Formats: sequence, C-alpha cells, structure tokens
Amino acid sequence: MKLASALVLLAPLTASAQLALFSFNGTTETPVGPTYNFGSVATGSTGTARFRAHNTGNSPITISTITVSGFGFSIAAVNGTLPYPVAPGNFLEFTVQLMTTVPATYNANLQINTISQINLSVILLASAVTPPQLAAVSGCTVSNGAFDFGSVQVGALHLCNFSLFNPTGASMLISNISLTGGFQFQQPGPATPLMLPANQGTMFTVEITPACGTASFSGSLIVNSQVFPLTGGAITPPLPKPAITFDSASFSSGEQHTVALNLPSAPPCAAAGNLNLAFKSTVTGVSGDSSIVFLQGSSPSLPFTVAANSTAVLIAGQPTAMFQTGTTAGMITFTVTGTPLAADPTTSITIPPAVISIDLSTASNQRAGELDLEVAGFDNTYSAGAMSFTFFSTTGAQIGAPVTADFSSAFETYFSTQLAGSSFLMRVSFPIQGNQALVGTVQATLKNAAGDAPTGTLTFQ
Amino acid sequence: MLAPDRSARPVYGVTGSVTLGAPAATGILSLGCSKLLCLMKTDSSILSPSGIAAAPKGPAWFSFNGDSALVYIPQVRQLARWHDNQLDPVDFDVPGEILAVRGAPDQITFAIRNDAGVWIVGPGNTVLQSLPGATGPVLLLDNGGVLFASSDALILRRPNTSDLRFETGPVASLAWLGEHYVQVGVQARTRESNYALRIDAGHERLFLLPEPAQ
Repeated sequence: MKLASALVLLAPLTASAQLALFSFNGTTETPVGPTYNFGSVATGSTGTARFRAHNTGNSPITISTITVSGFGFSIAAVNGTLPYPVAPGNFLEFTVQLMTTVPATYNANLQINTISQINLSVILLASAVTPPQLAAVSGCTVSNGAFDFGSVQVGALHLCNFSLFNPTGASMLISNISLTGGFQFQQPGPATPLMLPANQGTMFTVEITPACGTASFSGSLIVNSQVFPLTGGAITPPLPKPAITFDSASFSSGEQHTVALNLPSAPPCAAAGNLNLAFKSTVTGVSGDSSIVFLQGSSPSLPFTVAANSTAVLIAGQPTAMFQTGTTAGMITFTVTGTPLAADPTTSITIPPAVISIDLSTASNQRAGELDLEVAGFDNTYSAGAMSFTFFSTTGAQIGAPVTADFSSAFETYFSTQLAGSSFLMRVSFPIQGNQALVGTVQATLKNAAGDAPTGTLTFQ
Repeated sequence: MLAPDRSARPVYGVTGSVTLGAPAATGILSLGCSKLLCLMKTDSSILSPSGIAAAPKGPAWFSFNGDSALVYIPQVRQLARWHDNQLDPVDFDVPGEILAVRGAPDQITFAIRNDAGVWIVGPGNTVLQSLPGATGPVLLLDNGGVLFASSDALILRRPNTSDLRFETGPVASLAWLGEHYVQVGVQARTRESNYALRIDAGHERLFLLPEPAQ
C-alpha cells in the first residue's frame, strides 16, 4: 500500500506513452490522474470542464476519437476537427459537459484514442446536489433567467435584496457567494463558508452604481457553483436646467456683458454642449447684426463643459463668456444645445431702440472755406437723417437760425451696405464765406425714431 | 489690432461694439496706429500701408507725430524716425531700459526703468516724473499723460496727475490702436486677452476686443 501511494504521487497524471491529460481552468493547467472529479453540481444545472490532451513525445500523434460514456456527460466542444494531428509539445483542447437532472452520483469514462493506438482513459466523477434557492425579495425582478435591476440612473445607488434558502431537510454548506461585473454586497456582505440549517435561509443585499457613459450593466451572482446572471439598464439623467445669468438686468446697444450658466444641482456625469446666441432685429429691413457675438472667437456659439458632481460650468474654459450687444435694436436669445436638458433654459434679452449714440464728435475749421463736423456713433433704429446745427461766434453769440438738414437718403444707402450693425462715421461740411475763424462753436442735434441726440458744444479747432 | 496669431487686423465699429476685418498682414511683432498712419514691425522690416523699410530684428515701440513716427527697437536699442516710408536713425543718450518714447526727434521724452524704478525723462535726461508701482509696459500720451501697468492693473495718469485705474490683471503689452485708443494685451493664467482702452478725457472706457474667428 505504501508503495502504491508513492507511485501515485510520483506519476499523478494520466499518460499513455506520449499522451498526457491536463485540466485547464482558463489560466493554468493541472495534470489529471486516473480519475477527475467535477465536484458538486447543483441539480438541474450544467457543469463543464476543459481538458488538454498533450503530446509529450518526440513524434507526432493523431487523436482519432474523444468519447465520454456515462449518464449526463457529453463532449461539448473540441478545439479542432478529428482526426486531429498533435505535434510534439502541442495539445488538443476539448470540453466535457455534465447535465444533472436528479440529485445523485454521476460517473463516466472519458476515452481518448489515437490512430497509433496510443490511448488514454479517465474516470469522471460528479455528484448532483439539491441547490439552495435564490430569490429576489425586493429591488429587482427575474427576467429571461436573470435578476433584472431595472433601469438605474447612472451615479445612483440601486439595491436588490436576495434570500438564499435551503429547501432540503439537511444542513447545506454554502462555500462561496460572490459577485462579478461591478456589483457589490452591501456591507456586511454574506460570510462564507455558511452552513444553512434545514429549511432555513439567509438574506443579503447586492448594490450597483452604474458608471457614467454606460447604457447597461451586467454581471453574475455566484453561489457555490451556480451562476445567476444580473442585468440592468443605465440611464444618464439630463443636465439640470441651467440658469442663464447676466452681469446686468438691463441692456443697451454698444455694450459688452458677461453671461454665465448656473446649475441648480451637480450632475452625476460630466456633460458638454454649446451656449449659443442668436439675434433677431426689430428694425424693419434689417435682418441681423454680425457684431452681436461672443468675443471669444467672434462666434455665436461657444462650447461649455461641466464636470461630474460639480455645479461649475466652464464656457470655453472660463466661468463666464463676454458678448457684445451690437448696434441694432432687437432681441438676443441664448440657448443651450448639445446635451439633454431637464428643461429648456432659453433666455432672451431685449435691446431697446435708442437715440443716436454719439461716440466721438469734433468740429474743424482747418480747411479753407469749410467748417467740418465729424461724428462717429451708431443708430440702432437705422432711421438717422434729420439734423440741426446751431453755430456760435467766438464771442458766444448765435449766428443766424439753426441750420436743418435731412440726410435720410444718405444714411439709408449707407446702412443698406452694412452687415455689422449701424455704426457710422459722418462728416458734414459747411461752405463758408468770410473769416471762418470767427465761428467759434457749433451745437448739433441728430434725430432718429427714438428721439434727439445732441452733440453738446463743439469747438472749431 | 495685433491679434494673438500675429496678424494685423482692422477694427471696425464704435466703442464697445467692434468687429475685426481680415488680416492686413501676418508675421507682425508690433503694431501701432494713429489717426493718419499705421506701422507694423516684422522681424526684419517696418511696413506702412504705402511702403516698407528694412529694420533691425525684434519688436518695436511706436510714437506718432502727424504723418511721422518715432520707432524704438529695444532688442538693438536703436531709435529712428519714420517718415516717407524710410527710417532715419536718431541719436540719444539715455541710461536704463527704455519702455516708451514720445515727441519730436529734438525733444524726445523717454520712459525708462532703472534700479530706482520707472521714470519719465526729458531732453538732457531731466527727470520729469516717476511712476511708483509701474512694473509693466508704459505708453507716453500726446497730451502729457502716461499709461502704465502695475502688477495687476492698468493706470491712466492724466496730465494733472490724477489717475484712472482699470483692474485688468497683468498687462503684457500696450500699443496705439488709433487716435484715441490703446490696445492692451493682458496675460491671464491660461489665455491672452486683448482690450481696447479709450483714453480721451471724459470718454475713458476699457472694452474687450473680439478674437479673430476660427
């Protein structure tokens, strides 16, 4: 007996001349002796084992047949077509499957034959036991053979409570309860090994927090050798409705303002989109104003980003974006696109019609026989034209009656060529006879649909 | 304006509402414009709308006087007068780092930095004014005022020495953008921004210049 035991230890693998059998678990090979035990298989389930038949000799062999004889056993797959030549040092892999139907002891003979009569046989052993019963108590349902966690919002924790029950009249050993696929036990998880008394069970909770960017999730709950699929769908919530806020409550043409996006709550996932502005003129015949843009990139649209679990929105990398209100009356509408939103944050600001804005005005008497008045400004109503001019002597006395003029036609012609708003630079020249140096100052008034805009007193120089 | 991509672009519009035109020139190191004249410095020349003249390497500071200008090239410490599309050297004897120039060739005022700080000196190195806190670029204005940068702001000192302060952050450059406007380059932590400062009395206003469209 001692000698026989020593022989088994020295030559544990089943080998026939140059053919040797190994079991393979996906990463490592283990020599197979005269018998191979599948272990305990839950009744009604399927167990499998992968084997590799190695050519340990120096010459090729050809495996002609691989058979398994025994109730419930079958060859599930062969990684090649028989007859299959195996070069020295190489192997042929195949899978044996056991399907159990009743609690019992199962055995079979695994036979591997070669055309050169180098054959090998192994006794396969297994026992089918009544498995524990797993049921979902709350938080998930059984669907298509899997425990379905349903639709779960990404970043949110979802729980499913399970019961594991021993339906037999004897104690049952639960040696392993484990999870794959991102599922976790709510602490404290089930401790194993666990001895379930007859007709009693235990409870535990499995949790999942779907990661951002996933549409679904799956994994397994493994109890002893039983594998229970776990599935669910991931829902990415829309970005909370951002508030579009400005640095001012009122707006006029010719201004620069900042706009920001403020989130009422932090989203669980990072998001990105675009903040856009669009201008609609309220001036008849004027369709747009290309100067109404974000100053960064002179663009009507800027990208924005928000990090997961943050309320800070960066517009083109900055907390705020600056835009121009242009020089046309109308409405600027801000929209957010490019990412699902909980609600539409579209916000509009009104640029009201205004009197002509005079940016720069000068009076010059440097040209002989001419008095020149230059005005730079804008007219966001595009209705400029009527003007009046009152001249004063160097002693302050008014010279004659105010001079009126209507340049509406010239302004209309000019504005019709402009796409970037209503800014203009005009020069009005007055031919003069006599000593023009005696004319000291002028006051001009520029009229438009919104009213009168005086230049103030301009000194000729 | 001198855009971040080193192109020279016309600026259209009014204060607070401007647009940029297409590049008039590229590869520009420095730019300055008055009411009558625009000069652009490339690495080896100075361009005007009507001509070109060879010039030493490096950027330049401009000071305009009608249809002529003083041009200072700090990299080679040379001063010249631009007129009729040519450069005439101008002799000077001013110690220290020259930050800005102004005036006619025979009556030049300099802003200089030396160990004692930043000073404005006139002919004969007469000290006219000191600029305590000046750490960045300086621009000498035609009306006798001065525009200079501290560590975190832009200060417009009028001829009567009253100051207007603009909280711009660190100013990297100052350049004439027109008769009443100065381009202010601000280097923030992550990006460079360009502002326009209107400087004529009673109308002072700082506003952001658009970036060129992508």
